[in-house]
Amino acid sequence: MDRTEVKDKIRTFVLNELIRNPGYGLGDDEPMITGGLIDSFSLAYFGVYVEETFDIYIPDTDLTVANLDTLNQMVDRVMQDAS
Amino acid sequence: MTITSFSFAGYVLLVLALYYALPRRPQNILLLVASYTFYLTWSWWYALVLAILTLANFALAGRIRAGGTPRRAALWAGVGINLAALAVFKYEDFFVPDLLARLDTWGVESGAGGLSVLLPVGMSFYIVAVISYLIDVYRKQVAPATDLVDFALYMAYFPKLLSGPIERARDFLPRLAAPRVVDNDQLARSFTLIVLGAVRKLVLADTLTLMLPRGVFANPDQFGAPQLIGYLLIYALALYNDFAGYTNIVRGVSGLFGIELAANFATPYFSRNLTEFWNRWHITLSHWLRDYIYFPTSRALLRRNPSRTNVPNLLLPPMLTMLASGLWHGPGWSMLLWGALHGVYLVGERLLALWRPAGPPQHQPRWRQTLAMLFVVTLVVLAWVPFRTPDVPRALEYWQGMLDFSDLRRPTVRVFVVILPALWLDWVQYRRGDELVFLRWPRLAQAALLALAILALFLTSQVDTGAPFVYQGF
Repeated sequence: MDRTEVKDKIRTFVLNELIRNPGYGLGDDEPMITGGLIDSFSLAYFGVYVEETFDIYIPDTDLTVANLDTLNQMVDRVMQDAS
Repeated sequence: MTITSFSFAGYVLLVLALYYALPRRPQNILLLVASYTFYLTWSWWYALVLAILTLANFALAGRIRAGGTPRRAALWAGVGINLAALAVFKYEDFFVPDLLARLDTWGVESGAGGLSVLLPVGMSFYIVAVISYLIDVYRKQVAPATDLVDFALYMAYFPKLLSGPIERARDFLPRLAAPRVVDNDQLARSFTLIVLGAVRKLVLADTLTLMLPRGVFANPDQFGAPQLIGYLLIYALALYNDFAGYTNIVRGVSGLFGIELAANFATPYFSRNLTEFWNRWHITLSHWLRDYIYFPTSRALLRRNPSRTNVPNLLLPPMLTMLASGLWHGPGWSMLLWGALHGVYLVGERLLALWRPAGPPQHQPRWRQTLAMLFVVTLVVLAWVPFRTPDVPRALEYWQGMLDFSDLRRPTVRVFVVILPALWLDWVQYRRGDELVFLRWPRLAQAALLALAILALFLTSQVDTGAPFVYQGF
């Protein structure tokens, strides 16, 4: 799976499930948690989504704001284990 | 030896003098000796318990790492030993009397009262820190410490020993190995943190605490609604400045040794929702609870049913997390009630979020943000009632009394002499998003503020409240 495909899937998940506003124009480097768009507890949903969609386990202690604040960071984290 | 005493200041200066006279490696040994010496000034018994738990956890982490051994069994043994120690020292008053009463009703002769053991100060903090270390070693998130001195220092480092911050080993251990730079900028940051902390604790928190009449939380029926509301607000500010003051001081002291400690507060009373509040209040504990209770519970439930609207998914993670927080703060039903209230708040927030699209709160109109802050502060302050009252009936009485306006006595207006500077301090930090905003002020303004702080410290030092840090009791 290439990066573009991963990014599209994660973007769709974030907009539909976390932000719950499919029409929101989310920037690739827009800070979602520190920007107040979603809360850090939503990262549990992201963790399970990544497990089920990409078969990648992200440890709880890696589900941090520092690691996963932007769409690009989320994609980077998935690509890191996918490669 | 308390953190705000002259003896502690002298002790820190002595340790600093020795510290900078030594080469790098013996510095950690010195810090370890200094930490245990500091703890011995509280009690040899506390130091002994800490030493035993340090050796046990060091050995267990090695077992968890070792291949071919039952890693999971070693993890559970480690978590069990630490929780058992906490249960014996912290919660025996909570469960032992109930247990003995039950045994008596079953006709079993117990023949004993409570265990009557004293909780070693700081134990609640270092226990949760070391549990996170064992779990992280098990998950291979951190390599187990191979140096007993460094590990013992992680457990006992004296600036954070009494009341945190709760440091993760994977953050703290590398700091012990990293080069320590204490330049002018670091000195300025440390000094500012210490002065800010002293002002928060000695000028603001202690003075506000003095304004609380004795017995207001134990006998709320003797006070009218305006008094109960006013005193609750005073308590909320006193508690915050007390713990934030402590954290500032110890972070400043640690900075003098070139070792950063995590921030614990970020102007929490300016939060626009409850989730934000918990990311700004006692941050190191909140994040610990999030990482080791909320996330695992939430993920386990989501794997069974990934729906956001599934009732257990909505209810259980926040309720379990906040009940654990209540239990951590102390044994007793009133602390559990405090935790349960915050759990209910968080569940309510998630329910609202189900049909309201998320959006950055800072994009909302200013008036809505202000209303949201006032709403959050009201909920948080109301929840401080069971946090402070000795039991649940008194908490209910307090809340009931806040609605009874038959007695219109109110707290003295002099309280604003302290409340206004306390709010101003937070407002300045919040507006700039920087706790050390004062370092960016012009030199003249910095000097004027420092002079004012020293004057206030001098004036308040004439009144010895002898009030210990509130969180030291946990």
